[in-house]
Amino acid sequence: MKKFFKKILLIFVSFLLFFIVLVVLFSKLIENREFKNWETESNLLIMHPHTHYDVLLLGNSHSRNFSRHNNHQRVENILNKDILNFGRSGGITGYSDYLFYLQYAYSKNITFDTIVVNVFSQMLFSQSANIASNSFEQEPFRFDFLFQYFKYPFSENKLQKVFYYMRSKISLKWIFLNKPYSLNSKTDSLLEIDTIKVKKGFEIAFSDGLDTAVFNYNANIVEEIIQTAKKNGAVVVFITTPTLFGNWPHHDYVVDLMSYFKQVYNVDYYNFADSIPIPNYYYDHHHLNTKGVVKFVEEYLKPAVFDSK
Amino acid sequence: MLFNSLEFAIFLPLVFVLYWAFFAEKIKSRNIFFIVVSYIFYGWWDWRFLFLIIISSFVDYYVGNKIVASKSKKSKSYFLMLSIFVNLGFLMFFKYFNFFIDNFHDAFSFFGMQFNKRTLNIVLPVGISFYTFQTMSYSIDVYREKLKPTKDIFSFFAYVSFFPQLVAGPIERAVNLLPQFYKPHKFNYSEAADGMRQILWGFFKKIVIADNAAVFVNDIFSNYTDYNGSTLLIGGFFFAFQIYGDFSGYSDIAIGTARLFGFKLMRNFAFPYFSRDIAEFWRRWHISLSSWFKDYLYIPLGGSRGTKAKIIRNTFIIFVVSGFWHGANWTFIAWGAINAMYFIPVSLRKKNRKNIDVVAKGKILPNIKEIFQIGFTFFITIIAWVFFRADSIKMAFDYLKRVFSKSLLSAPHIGYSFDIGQVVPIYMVFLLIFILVFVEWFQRDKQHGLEFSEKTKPIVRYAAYFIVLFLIVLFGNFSKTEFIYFAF
Repeated sequence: MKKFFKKILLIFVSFLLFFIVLVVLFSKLIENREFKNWETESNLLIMHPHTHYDVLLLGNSHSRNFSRHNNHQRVENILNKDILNFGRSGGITGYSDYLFYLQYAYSKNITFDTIVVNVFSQMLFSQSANIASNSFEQEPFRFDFLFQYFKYPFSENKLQKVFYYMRSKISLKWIFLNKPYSLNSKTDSLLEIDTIKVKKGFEIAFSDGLDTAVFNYNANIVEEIIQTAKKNGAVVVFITTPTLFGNWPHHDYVVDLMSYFKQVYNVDYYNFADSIPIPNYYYDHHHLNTKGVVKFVEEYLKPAVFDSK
Repeated sequence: MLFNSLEFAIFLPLVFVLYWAFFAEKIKSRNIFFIVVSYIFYGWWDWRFLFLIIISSFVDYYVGNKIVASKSKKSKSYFLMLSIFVNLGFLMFFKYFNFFIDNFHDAFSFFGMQFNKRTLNIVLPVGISFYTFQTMSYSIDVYREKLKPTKDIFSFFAYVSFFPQLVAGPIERAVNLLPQFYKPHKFNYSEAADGMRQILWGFFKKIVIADNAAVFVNDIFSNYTDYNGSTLLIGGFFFAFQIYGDFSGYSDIAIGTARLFGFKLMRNFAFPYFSRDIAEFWRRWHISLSSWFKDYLYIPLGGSRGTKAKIIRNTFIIFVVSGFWHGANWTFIAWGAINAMYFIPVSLRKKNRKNIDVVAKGKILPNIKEIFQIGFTFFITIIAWVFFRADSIKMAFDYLKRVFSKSLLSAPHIGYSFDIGQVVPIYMVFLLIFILVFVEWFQRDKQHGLEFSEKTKPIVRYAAYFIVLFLIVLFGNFSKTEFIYFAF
């Protein structure tokens, strides 16, 4: 019996050590390379401790779009601000992850003047984005990130996320994560709105349903983002980025929540959803192409959010 | 509780330590311990359905003793009927009630008659098809005087609820399992070590093969009208490995877990995809269910004795009933009927026991004839699996029609929906299936894929453990997917 236990323990512990060593080694392969915010979708790779930025962008792919396709520098130039973008694809990250990135950044003494948070109904009704296992697959393995995440209270799927975070380092996808993003402008554009595609897209986007408990859960996290930012001296601004179809379904929930935040925290909300109803500025129905990003930042975001302050 | 869950990863070592530290050698307390932990294991899913197991156990314990105590054949039969009535009654109500109501409604409507359709929102209790068959077999064996009824209620309850095989088999016969609850157990190192290996191999089949194949299978079957013939064929091929990995993986984990406690369960799968004909396949696939139907249905009906018409009838009945056992849907009945149609020609030509031994015994590779036989048998099982997986018979026919169209010759295309990070790429699923087939081919004369002879050097064994563990950690799908057979 003792022999059995000893052997099981020996195999288990030695395998665990072997796995961790591999994770660290593979992680180091990439971590030692220099990345810019627009060259990667990893947030840890671009976090440099003791740095100050004018603006932090927080949200899903609509926020990330301000950095993709070399848009980052264009947006920085138009706004004349140093920007850090933590925007991540909405399928694999939710508000819970965005809050954690923010808290981790503060723990590294990275500070911001303004935090622009992208909000819209689909994300607020999404549970699957928060519990997706592969949220951190593009992040290098760091023990302090891991330990902080273990203590983080707003995670519903912690063990799986941590497990996928670690094992994703031992993959070809990670090894070849070498400045993968095109620096070319996104020139694709739509000719017209395709209502069938939009309808189908809404069905997929709201596949988690309209559960008010999920909405409230996400609303609490967003509130936590406001409080965290305030505690660290940053101003929070909420925006909804433009879409070709205008407001997302169930937008009234967002309006109510934003007016509550305005009342309690005096936080501004700018709804730009129907500001650019021109197909030519989009590469799909809710992502602006480069021309669209430039137009939006120049004509809407800058005057409304930054010049008015 | 799922085997592939964190709860079970805590539950099993805890139960294992408590068992060997305090209970293994004291029969009564050991059996009570098993009842308690098995009920916890089951109740973790839904404690409300524990009453079904308790009633089923009580009835068959009572029936077994009453059958022996009865003097007349008639009263013995009455008691046996009671067991069958209660167990099949549970099964009929929880599993088939809505199916029958729906079909009565359709039949009445077809003839233009009114039928007040009232279906119920019934939850299918996990494992009900397994434990009801297990307890029924006890009463039938007592009735047939193959087994003496037990007076030890704790042993009997522990036998019915034994957690490793409670929810998805193997469907144990009392003759094999019940006596193991009568005697004390001593820890056997080599049994426990091989049990662990079998568990490890079971997890590989479940988490790496079945759950990764399932991602593609679900997408392809849900959107089959969007895919070409070659992609649909891949869907069928993957489903064959999904169901094999899922169910034989569960069986390996169950058998391995039982071995940790010194119990021997019957073998449930014997590398069925290496079968050279359909009869061999059915001797190697879900052995505990096939042999159950053979012993309690096929042979009482006359088996393969009698006229050709009788053989055809008996074969059809056993396969159709077996199909229906899998689920309350015509697709399962069709699946059973198709297998009957495969089996009948083999049986009528008395060739059903032609391939008894392991294929290519003593050789590294099979010969051309064997390759053709294995390939053909596998191919026809895939055709049948399409009916098993499809939502309706119409869909299954449509699916197969699309497979055998011109587009079968075009390159497969996999939709964008697979482009999500946590899914193992399709080429990797093929590679993992290849690893499974490769390992099992070379282990085909053993009990499971990771069994080693005593001569195997420790370095080889440890390397094998590390490789399998590594494959599980690296490619395992750890989203909590239930075992397909939980639904049966």
